[in-house]
Amino acid sequence: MKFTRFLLKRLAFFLVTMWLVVTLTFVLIRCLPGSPFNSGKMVHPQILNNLNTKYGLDKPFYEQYLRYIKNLVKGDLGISMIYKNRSVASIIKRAFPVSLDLGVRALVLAAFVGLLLGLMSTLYSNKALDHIISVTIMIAVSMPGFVAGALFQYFLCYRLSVLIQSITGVRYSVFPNTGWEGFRSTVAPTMALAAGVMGMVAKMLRTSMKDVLDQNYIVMSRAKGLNKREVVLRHALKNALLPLLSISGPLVSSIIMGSFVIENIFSIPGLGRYFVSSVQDKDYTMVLGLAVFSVFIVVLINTITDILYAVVDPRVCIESKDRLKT
Amino acid sequence: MLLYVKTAVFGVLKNKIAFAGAVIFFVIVMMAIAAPAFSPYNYHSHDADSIFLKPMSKGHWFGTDEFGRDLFVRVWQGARISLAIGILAAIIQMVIGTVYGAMAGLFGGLADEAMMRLADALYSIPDLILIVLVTLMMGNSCFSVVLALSMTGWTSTARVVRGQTLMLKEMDFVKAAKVMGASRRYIMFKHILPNCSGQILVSLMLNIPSAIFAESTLSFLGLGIRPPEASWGTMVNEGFKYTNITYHPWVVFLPLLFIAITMISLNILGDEFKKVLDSKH
Repeated sequence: MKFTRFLLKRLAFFLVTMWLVVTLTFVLIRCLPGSPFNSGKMVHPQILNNLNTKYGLDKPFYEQYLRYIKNLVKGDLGISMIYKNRSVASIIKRAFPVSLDLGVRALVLAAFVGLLLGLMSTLYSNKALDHIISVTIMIAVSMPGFVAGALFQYFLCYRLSVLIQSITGVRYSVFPNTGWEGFRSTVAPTMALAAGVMGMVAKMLRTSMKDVLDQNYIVMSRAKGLNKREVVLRHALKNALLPLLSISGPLVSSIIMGSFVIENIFSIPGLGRYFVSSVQDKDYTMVLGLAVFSVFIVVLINTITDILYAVVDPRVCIESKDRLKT
Repeated sequence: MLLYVKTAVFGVLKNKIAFAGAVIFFVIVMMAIAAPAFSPYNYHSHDADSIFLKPMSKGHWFGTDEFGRDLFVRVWQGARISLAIGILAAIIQMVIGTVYGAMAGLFGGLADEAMMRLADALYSIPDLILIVLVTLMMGNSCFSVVLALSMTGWTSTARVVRGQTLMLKEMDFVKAAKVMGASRRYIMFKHILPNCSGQILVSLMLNIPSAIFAESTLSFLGLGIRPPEASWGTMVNEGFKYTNITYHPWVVFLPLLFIAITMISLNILGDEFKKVLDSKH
């Protein structure tokens, strides 16, 4: 009963957030100065008129809004204003799988390495390895995505091929510096995107492990004579993973935002590249569509992880009011 | 309140790593203020005779870029803009978040619920998208970037202050003030906020790096500060666009290095502040 109430509440929040986003982006975009068809060239007024009619820009504000919402529910995001006659939905359909591929690869890598680092630093706490790991975490967390992107591109793509050339004399690039074809081209962008999130995961696990290890049942099992490794892996890890689930929403969000940057560095034809170029081209429908779509993905994943959290830890259904506090 | 903050600051500086972070950040701020003023070069003049000079070449400590602009001056000019935007945005975020959170906590009930839901909704939207939309509307000046950053970054502060307010509201000294007829505003400014000052300081410290992070990412994508103005993000963006990083890596990596150093020192400081405050409770 409590769970259904929580579920309904969460879904309502999801819908309200989405509505808020759609309205906000719509208003912001429509307040923009200039028209997308004014590119400095002289255009015949009749053509301009026809274009405005085609994109519905001649209608009153509220009618545009209602039409947009109606189309949105049907999954129709409108037609791009720059790539003539291509719908925003079709561009998303082409670009999203690429972004998804990159995102999932990075997320898996980040989760794996992050958990491993977090565990290692717990098992060897206050030893040299722990200090090395905490420095690594600090650097990984602090660096903006494009710093990691530039570093990985420079060393993994350029330096490595220069090195190979100087040793063997053959010109061969192990990891191509741009594009998204074949496994080799995915390595550098995936690592660059994963770096920051990896740091977040490791940091979170490290902190929550510290909290869990202070608790009585851990002290008890240590007192019974279990060794540290056993206790950490068997008793502490499960509980320490819980807080991680609660930040998985922000993690995914930062993966998606990070992919915008990484895609631009490595010229990967995903959502991020289209987003940036459409902002520069003032392609209103495209910006709006891509923004709404990205936010939809983020909020959807947030909702799913919140519900998952409630399934794993039913206490949150009761105290859901204060849960979002921390 | 002042005493409280002072002890927190001294507690943090006792830690060697945090002290190093503070010193590094202080040096960067000082250099950002002084270096462009005392250098014989300026950040926007081209010099066709000396393009792509390597770092440590005569007259140019950090070398020059594709237009022969002195990178030493450009890095510190970029620091001026990046730091100013980051710090200003973080302060505005702090003010908005504090007032919003304290109000939500004090009003309680339905108003609290509605206000925090709104903040949650805003929090769940990736900030980069909102910032891009706002800067798209307002143009790419420093002012609009600060405005966009302040609009999105205040929610975490609001959440912390609201939680603290809810706790303080139930304490005896606040109740006593209420019984004696103190107004809501008086209670908020005289009793609640001074007792939140530690948490507010921590979130300010954490907001500065995240604002710098967001600004540099935005400028890197070419959607933030526009050339010829130079922030660190813009410099990296230009470096990627106009130079081949295989041959002239320093054009890209010098600004990157300073972003990284600044972010790391600020993050260390913020973490340490958080630790000191947590241990006090």
